[in-house]
Amino acid sequence: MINIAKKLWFIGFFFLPWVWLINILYFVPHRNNLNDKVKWYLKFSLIGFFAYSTIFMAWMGIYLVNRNKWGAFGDNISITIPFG
Amino acid sequence: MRFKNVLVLLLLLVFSVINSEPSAPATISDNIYTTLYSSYPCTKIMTSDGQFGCSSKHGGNSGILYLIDDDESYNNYFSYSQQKDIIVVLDTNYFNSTSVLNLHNKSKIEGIIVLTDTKKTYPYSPDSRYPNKIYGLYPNSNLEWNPNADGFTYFSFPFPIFAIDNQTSVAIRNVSKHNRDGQYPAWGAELDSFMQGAINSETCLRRGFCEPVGGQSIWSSFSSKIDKEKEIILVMLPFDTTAFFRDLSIGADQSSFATVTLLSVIKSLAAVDRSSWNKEVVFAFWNAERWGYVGSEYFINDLLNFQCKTYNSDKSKCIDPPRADLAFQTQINFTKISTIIELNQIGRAQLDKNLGKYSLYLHTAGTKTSSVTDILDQVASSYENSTITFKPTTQTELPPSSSMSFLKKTNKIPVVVITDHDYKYSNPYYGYEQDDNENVLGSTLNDIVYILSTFIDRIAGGNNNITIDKNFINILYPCFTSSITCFNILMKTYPLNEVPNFYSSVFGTSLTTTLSPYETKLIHRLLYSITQYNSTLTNCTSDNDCPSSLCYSGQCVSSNTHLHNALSLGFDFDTSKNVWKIVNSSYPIFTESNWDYTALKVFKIGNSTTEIWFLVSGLIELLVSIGLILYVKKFLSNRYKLL
Repeated sequence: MINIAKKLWFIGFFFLPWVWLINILYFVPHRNNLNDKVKWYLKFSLIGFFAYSTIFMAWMGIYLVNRNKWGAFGDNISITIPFG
Repeated sequence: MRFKNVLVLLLLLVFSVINSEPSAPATISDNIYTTLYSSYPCTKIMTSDGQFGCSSKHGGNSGILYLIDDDESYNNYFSYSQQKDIIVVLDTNYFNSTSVLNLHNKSKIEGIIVLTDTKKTYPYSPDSRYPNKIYGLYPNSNLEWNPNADGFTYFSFPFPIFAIDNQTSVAIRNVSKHNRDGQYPAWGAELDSFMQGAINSETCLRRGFCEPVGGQSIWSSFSSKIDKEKEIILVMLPFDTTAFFRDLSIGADQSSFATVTLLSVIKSLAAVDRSSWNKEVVFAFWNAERWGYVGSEYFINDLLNFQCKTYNSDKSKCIDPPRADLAFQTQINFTKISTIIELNQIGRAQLDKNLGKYSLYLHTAGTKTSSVTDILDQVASSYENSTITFKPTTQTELPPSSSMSFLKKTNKIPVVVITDHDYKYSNPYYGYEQDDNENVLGSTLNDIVYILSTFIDRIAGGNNNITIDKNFINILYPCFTSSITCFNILMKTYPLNEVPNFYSSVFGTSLTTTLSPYETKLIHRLLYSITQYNSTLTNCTSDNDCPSSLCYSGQCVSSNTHLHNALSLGFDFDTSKNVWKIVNSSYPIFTESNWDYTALKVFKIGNSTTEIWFLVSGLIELLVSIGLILYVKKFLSNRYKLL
């Protein structure tokens, strides 16, 4: 159990907040018999999930609003540029 | 086990029989929609700091048809439009910036279909009051040459606008009247003209979503090679046209009447003895002039500044900077241009009731113009039965014309611009699709051709009796003003659209891959054949069989006729990134958006009760099917242990 929690916690650092969410959801059925160490990983997984999500969403908002204003830079950091 | 196989085979057989039924319809959408093929969309143009024109949503805008053909229906629209998505069917009289902007600002609108079955009852131009003002010779002028203009072309609309041809208009008007009576099924339409470009030229060029407006100018001479020591008489005109719906840019008075005149003049001069001519005569048809005198500016710039860095092997072409034809450099000396004669709008000569003649006006600039106009007066007055007279203008400024590009460089050349207006345009439909064959005076054409041919012969040093080629004019005139289908044998292709349309279109995808519309190719080919000096005895079946010449009726023909790029000097092609870039935005920066396709489709709409019944019966069908499948599955698994 501790191995799974630990692995998912490290994987989440590679810009994968949903893995942290899965980490928590995976342990929901076992919520009554978790030791403190696992709880520690799950707590910080949740915090990490919210932190990463907030940063990503904020960036997405900033990018979508300013994409056209940034000119050539805006186009260069885009993978596909929508028509219109 | 054997029974199971038999059952499966039986099922397969049943399915294959159902699917291979021969009378099966192609698709559901074919049954729902009827595509109207004679539809002409409003497209989008980008400038250096914005955009104008129209675009639909991605996938199209749709709604129920609502006809606006009188003030009552116009006023009712504002309350009606609250409830539904509406495609407005607009009588041509309501197509102007006041009524459309009012609809757009005060109510919801999904799209507009403009009818063409009736004619506008008032003079109207969607262009500006001084076309090309900031690119001309007098950017701060207070004159208004085009008084009927409301600048409609230069607004940007977030919904599609389409025009449809005469016949379709009658049908659409009828079904919209049927809608107005409240009968069901009602008629709706889907307008799809999604434009890829947006924001401005710089952005859309960088993204590759648009291309510069431009094309190919055409110039020609009777001489096989122009003597660089001789003086040049330049007879020219801007041949491209514009209209709000660019597929309908007939521009009969705007350009095509003058194009017919000049081609006919060249045709009649081709038949005379030109051995006494002591000057070179060059005929030029400038393209993309409506977009800031792009064609003439580019040609003059090449004459004055062009230097080739890398030639191809036989020095006939330049590779860097790319030019497919270097004849302009080897033959034309800018300082030798001694006279410029420009035919501008000449299709609506004004009737002078005192003289009983139609008058054309001479706008002059530069030095010693009287020496030129005197000859023209002499020619006109010595022609006894002439219905045409020439008058000097009362204006001191030139009207918008290609000559301005030359006068920007030098004021030493005498310039004569011939028009049908003294000051304000006599053309009531400048830049509007009604500038067609009914908007010009075909009866004046023969006399104008005769006088101008004689005039050009005289100033070149000849003294010939001119005979005009009436057969040629009788084919050319209707071809260029009502239906461009008369030179199919010469062109060996059929035009996509029967409406003559001299819109310059876009330049092309790079400096070397240029694009010429049918009309440009037609003028080039006609001019090439008229000014031919030599037909070799080489037989040919296509142009590919003739090196550096063209194939006409089975023989290779040579002519001193050339195409020249008409592209704004503000653009250059970035070969490393493979996109167009803007190098100087003080030049005209017009780009046209790309699009995949445009379509106008109509369909039937049931009333709300029918629509609810359709939904309910569909849901019932779905539930019954699910029930049936479950039952069959259960039955089969119980009885045969199959599934």
